Amino acid sequence: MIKHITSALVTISLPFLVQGQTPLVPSWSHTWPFGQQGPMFVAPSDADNHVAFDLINDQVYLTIDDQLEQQSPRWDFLFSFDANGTDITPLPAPLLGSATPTVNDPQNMEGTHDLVARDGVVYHARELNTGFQSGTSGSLCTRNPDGSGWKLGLGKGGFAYGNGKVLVDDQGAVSVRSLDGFTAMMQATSPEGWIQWTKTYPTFGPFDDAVLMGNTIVAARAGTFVTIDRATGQQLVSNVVYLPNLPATLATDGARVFFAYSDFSSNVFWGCVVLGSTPIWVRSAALDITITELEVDAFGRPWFVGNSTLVETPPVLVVTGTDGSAYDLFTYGSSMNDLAIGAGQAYITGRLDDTNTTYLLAVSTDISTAVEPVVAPSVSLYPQPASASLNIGGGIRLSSMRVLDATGQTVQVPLLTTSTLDVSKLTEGIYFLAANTANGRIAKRFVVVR
Amino acid sequence: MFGCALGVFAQPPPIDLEWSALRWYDGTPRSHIARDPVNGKYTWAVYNNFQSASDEVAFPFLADGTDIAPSYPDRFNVGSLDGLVDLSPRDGVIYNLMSHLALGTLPYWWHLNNAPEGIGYQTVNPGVVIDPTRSDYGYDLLVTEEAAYGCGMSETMVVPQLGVARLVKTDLQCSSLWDVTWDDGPALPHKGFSGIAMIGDTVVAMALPWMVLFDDADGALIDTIEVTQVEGDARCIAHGNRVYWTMNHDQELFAGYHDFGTGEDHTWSSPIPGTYGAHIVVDQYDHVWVTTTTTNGTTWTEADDQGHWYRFSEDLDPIDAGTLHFSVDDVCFVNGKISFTGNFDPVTSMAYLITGTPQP
Repeated sequence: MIKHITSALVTISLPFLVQGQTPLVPSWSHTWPFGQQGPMFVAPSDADNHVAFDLINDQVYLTIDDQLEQQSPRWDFLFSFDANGTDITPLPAPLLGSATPTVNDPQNMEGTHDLVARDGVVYHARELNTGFQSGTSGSLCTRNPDGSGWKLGLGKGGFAYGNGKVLVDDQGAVSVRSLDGFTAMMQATSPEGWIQWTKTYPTFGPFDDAVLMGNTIVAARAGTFVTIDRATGQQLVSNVVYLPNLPATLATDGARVFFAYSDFSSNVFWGCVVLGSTPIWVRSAALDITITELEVDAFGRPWFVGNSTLVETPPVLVVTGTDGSAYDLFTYGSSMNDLAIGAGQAYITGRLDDTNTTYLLAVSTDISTAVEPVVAPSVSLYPQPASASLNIGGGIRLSSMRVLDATGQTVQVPLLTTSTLDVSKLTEGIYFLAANTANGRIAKRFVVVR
Repeated sequence: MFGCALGVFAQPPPIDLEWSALRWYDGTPRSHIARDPVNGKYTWAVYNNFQSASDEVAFPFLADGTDIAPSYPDRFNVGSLDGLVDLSPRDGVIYNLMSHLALGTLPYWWHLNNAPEGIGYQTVNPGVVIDPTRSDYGYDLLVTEEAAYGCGMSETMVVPQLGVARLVKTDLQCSSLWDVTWDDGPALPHKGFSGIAMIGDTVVAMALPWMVLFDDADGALIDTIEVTQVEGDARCIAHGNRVYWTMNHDQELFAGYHDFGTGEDHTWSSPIPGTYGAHIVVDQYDHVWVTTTTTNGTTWTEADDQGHWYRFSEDLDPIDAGTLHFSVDDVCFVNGKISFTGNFDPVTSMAYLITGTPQP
């Protein structure tokens, strides 16, 4: 079931990624010919695929959707490795998830939405689909090495999909989730599972992400930082605006908070801030990805992975310098779903190809970065939505241009000399204008209505 | 006697915690927990005006705590004015006792139902013209392999309107098998049966200081036993030859038992101001668990409420005690697992449910 990748190079050369990059060679890697099914209508198909590094026992943990999806739609496999890549997964591989309901119960699907490991205990945030367009029920669960554990059911509020996350320290765990799709919610439990506090944080919607910094929880939502007392859940400082109103992914080195986000206009931004002050630095690049995870290595360098919003565009690993001003780009497989760092290595998991093969690889974090940041190119498309014609603004010289539908299929190849697209023959829906520029590739979303 | 330190998480009960749950409630924070002894599933009822229409929502869980709530969970809402008094799932059927609220010309009455949204036995026939000044109040529900029992107080069964204790037995389809009343005389210290237990073929109904015994076959009165000196509405449970009971009364928490083998009665009490909502179970080690909630405010939703648990030996010698969150509204012990539910804290509108295995 498990095999090592023999290829020496992780990097797949792509015209817009190779500039200045040094290929990364994996220390070790594994693949599985299954996984990645995920709960439909709940989350992206990579929802079940996560990696975590246990900083106490130096082990790597990986979740993959089980291949028996049709019979057991709630389970995910849990694999474990030492830092050298030796597979130490017990046989049979443990399953994370819920007991299969009886025939009279809802045959709903459940997925792992976050994974953290500490001293051999695996903490996993789960979401259970409660029916078509009906949202999800969340839970925070643990698995001890002997198979025991506890679970905390968080329920479903309203009709929104949850996206549970878990933070872990020596005091226990903190669940970060939405109450009803609109209200942020957290619960703290002891290591034994006793609920210590539960809080909701109204206004501004659910938290995008959160990190633990000693006795403080730092959460992000709507472009703001919210700090919360770890011991009580009380909000300390609210709404320190630091970013545009965009969902951010967070990481910390214990002193600083790192963030990364996409502006959904083919640009990503990453930065670093000390709480209570303005960001130390913010960088950007023209990358058409949705960031799936951000981590900080022992050198203080942010690493993040993301998947393209365009079907045909490969996923990206970005490694930056300590001040974010230099970065390298790497890609592998057809998706990069999660990232963890520990023991001098970064661990990346995702889908290898369209056959749903899952991979886990480790690369050394002892690398150098060499590429200077580029100014993110941008165009503007108006009016939005459009029905007859769409104007292209921004004054950027385009070297190629295509119109893609929501599935990534090319539906139109406009002339490069045109500044107005004829959209009168397009059916109603979401489209992208994909173009190459001297500074990189861009993709801009537009909507056609009838 | 022992004291209990205040605090949200002062002394958790001595159980090996296995799973827990939180649910946001909207409205009166009163929750119920019951476990089906046949299929092992749990039903957790939480008042929620958001997912329901001012009624308790029935959240189902598998034995290991797996949440199997569908998109739209069942609700206990027979009629628009019902409130859940007690529930007892058995072999997949969720029996429940609902108390209908008075409104206009309608008095209080209660239903004994065999589905969350079904209608079973009703103490008042809605088709009959009712004196709106007379009401029936339901207090407790017991379901066995063969029958369901509901009890409470009735003013609609007697003339003149004084109120009597009422006990009803139905089959598992909620069709009445017998329906009896009991009156302890002109002094009327009690107007209702507050709890039901079964000892062999005898139905034991609580009307402290009395335990009133009925023949399960036909509801015939067998005996009345004065088991304590205090009066009040007690919850009870049968275990072996004993019926254990607990009650809040006059700023004190009481627990006691009557041994039907030896005839022994025992009463334990502790002054605890503001206590309400006592419940009782007996675990696999014959330990007796009593839960209650205290408040120093004027209502049971004041911000200084505190849930309490007490553990006793089978002879009601205190073992240990502690506090648990903001309230303990209900406790159940079935098939080796004990569960507690209540209001988590005074500010977050969260009901909690914890389940685990009692420690020896």
